[in-house]
Amino acid sequence: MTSRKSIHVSIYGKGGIGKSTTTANISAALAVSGAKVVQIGCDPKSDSTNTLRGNRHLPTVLDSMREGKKVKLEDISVVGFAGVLCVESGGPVPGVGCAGRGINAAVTLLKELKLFEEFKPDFVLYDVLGDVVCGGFAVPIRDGITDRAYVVTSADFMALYAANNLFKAINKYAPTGGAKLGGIIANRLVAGYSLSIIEDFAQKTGVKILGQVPRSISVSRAELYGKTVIEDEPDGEQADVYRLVAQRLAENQDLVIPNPIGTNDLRSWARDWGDRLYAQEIGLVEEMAAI
Amino acid sequence: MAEIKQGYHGRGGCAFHGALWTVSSIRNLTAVVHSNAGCSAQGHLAARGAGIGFPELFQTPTTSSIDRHVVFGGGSRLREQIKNTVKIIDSKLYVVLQGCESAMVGDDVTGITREALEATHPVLCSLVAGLHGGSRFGYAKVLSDLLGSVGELKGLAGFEPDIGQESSVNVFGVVPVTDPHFRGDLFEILRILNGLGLSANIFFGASDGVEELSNAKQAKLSLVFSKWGRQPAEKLLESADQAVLERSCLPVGFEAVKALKDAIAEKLGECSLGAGAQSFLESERVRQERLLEPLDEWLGEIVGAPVALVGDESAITGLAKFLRDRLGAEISLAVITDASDAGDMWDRSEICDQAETYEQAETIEGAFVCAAQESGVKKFEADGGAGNRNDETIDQLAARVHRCGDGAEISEILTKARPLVVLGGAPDEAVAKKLGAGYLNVSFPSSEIVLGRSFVGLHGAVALAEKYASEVFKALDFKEASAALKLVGS
Repeated sequence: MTSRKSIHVSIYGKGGIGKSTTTANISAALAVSGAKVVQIGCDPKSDSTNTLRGNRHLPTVLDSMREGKKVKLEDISVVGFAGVLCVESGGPVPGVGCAGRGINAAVTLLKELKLFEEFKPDFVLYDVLGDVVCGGFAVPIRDGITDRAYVVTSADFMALYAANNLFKAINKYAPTGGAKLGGIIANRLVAGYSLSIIEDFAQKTGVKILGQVPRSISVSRAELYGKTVIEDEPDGEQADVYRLVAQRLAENQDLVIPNPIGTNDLRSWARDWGDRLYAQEIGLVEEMAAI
Repeated sequence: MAEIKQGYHGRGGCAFHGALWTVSSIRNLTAVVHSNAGCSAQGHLAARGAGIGFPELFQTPTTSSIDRHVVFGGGSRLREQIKNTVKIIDSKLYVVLQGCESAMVGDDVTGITREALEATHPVLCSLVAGLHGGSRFGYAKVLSDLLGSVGELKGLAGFEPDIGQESSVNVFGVVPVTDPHFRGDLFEILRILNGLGLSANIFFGASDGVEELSNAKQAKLSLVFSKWGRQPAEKLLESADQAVLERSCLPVGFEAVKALKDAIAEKLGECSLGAGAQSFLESERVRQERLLEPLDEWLGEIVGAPVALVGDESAITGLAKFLRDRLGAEISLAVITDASDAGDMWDRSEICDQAETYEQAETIEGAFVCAAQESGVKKFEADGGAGNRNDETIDQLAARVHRCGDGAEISEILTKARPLVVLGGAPDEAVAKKLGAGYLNVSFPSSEIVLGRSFVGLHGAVALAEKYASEVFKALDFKEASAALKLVGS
């Protein structure tokens, strides 16, 4: 699974939704299949690549910049599982400075350091902090750095709300050369209705679902060991799920500009789903009420 | 009834520049600027619009913040700059001003300033960034902040309680730089108030402006000459029991000075004025009439001359009144350049939201749509508190009133109006030349060197009459005066 031209992918999603876990497993799956992969964590928490490098210490780009020394590529990167090159942008001390501008500065430095020319990756995955709270966090999709974005979401309303915000950003920047959307990665699917909600959201916004990742104890266990599922339990079902998502991501050329839902419409859409779930819970029999 | 047109842009720099100019105009006060390199230098260059500028602005201590101070915060750099400034620059008081980046990043300027104060350095701060509005707003905000916090310095060297002389009147609303004549105006106002037996804190140009800031709370009255003076006057009311008298304009000529005196007497009581107040007024009246008398012979030639004024509301209202009442001018047009110095950004977004043009406003075309919708959307209060005075407003004085600061728009307005004389700022001079109209520099930016010139009070009125009449005669083509007047006025 190699390609001459690097594919730069940004992965967004609400904080705590499993973005880093999903990204790291996709990176691991791609690398195991023979691709050269770079994963760049664009989150001040700087924990995106933990499971790829066994929780080993990795100085962040911004930490190195703060020290004022001349930063070298080897100071801010480490080769992790299956040869994935791990980089963390890091961020300022919480409550001080501007993390959005920090990500911008970190990505600029990586380009100056000729990371991509040196490493010649097939895939570069940017794992970007939660919501697109300001222009700084839109850098990976805005300035031609990546040409495609994916969003990780569960069926929770706030996760879909964050996804919708990303769609707004893509909708704004794509016409002027920004990234387009590759699709949704449905994560932490538990109840039967979870996928239905996400499918409905995808249909309304005009995007497709790239893959479905059920909630699994394998993920939690692997993380506790400081590993991806691909490394910890390569023959398990969950590893197969991630491999499938990685394969689709690698092959996907169907990129779209999504149609975000207006804030009020999104709320009323959510309320409708609330009503449907309530009806299901109390066993209401009604025409067209099937989920 | 005047036709009122609304516009948006202010003429005269950002709020940070207004704050910097205000601080730099107060003797014994030094600004410490926390911003990227260039903000102070730009302020220095723009201040030349006040006729001569401020040489000392070029030496303003500044953190010259760079990218790392945005990403990681610029607090420690500011701390370093304050420490070095108090060591190197001898000043009675220092005030930290904040640029846009620092405001956006959220550096703890207040906390760092407090650290300096706790280390017994006389340092205050004002959180007014360029993005908060225009320069007049910057004046209002920084002056209010200083008046509100100067009490915190009590006990420090030079700030012993009750030091200095108590003054009767605070003078607010004469804005440094955007009123290019602010020095001359303030000295003339001080001369008038002294003549009426009142002492005054004028803050700018005073021998010790910092002392006047400390004493402002003890004054009996705050005299407010423009809407930009309201905020500082109101700040003092939070902790002081004093009267506020707001005037719609600067007093130009004897009649305006007399009206000012009457208003002060009504606020404070006739007995608050000095024994010599009446004789001072009488001597002002006599001197003005004696000096203007020779012009009366020529007034028949210039009465009805259509005049356009461009400038800040308070200044041009006073000029318009004198030109009309004493020199017979017809105020055909007034362009107010300080209508919208504060909160532009929020007003603009409000308009866009109301019109549901959010998406449109994200494009250049959308911005044009928004701009077109601005006209007539919001009327700024030209004359707050008008109920307590009888002064005429510019809307009553002028046949047509526009509120905008955009150069191209003002040029178009002037060209359409075809006045005989334009009283305005440097950009209006070229338009006047094209029209063959006379031009008199009265507002920001100044096209001439201005040191102590003023169009306020007796001296200002006489200077105005001299210059105005000269420009009218020049423009009239002396040989065919009445024919030309008819042609231009049509």
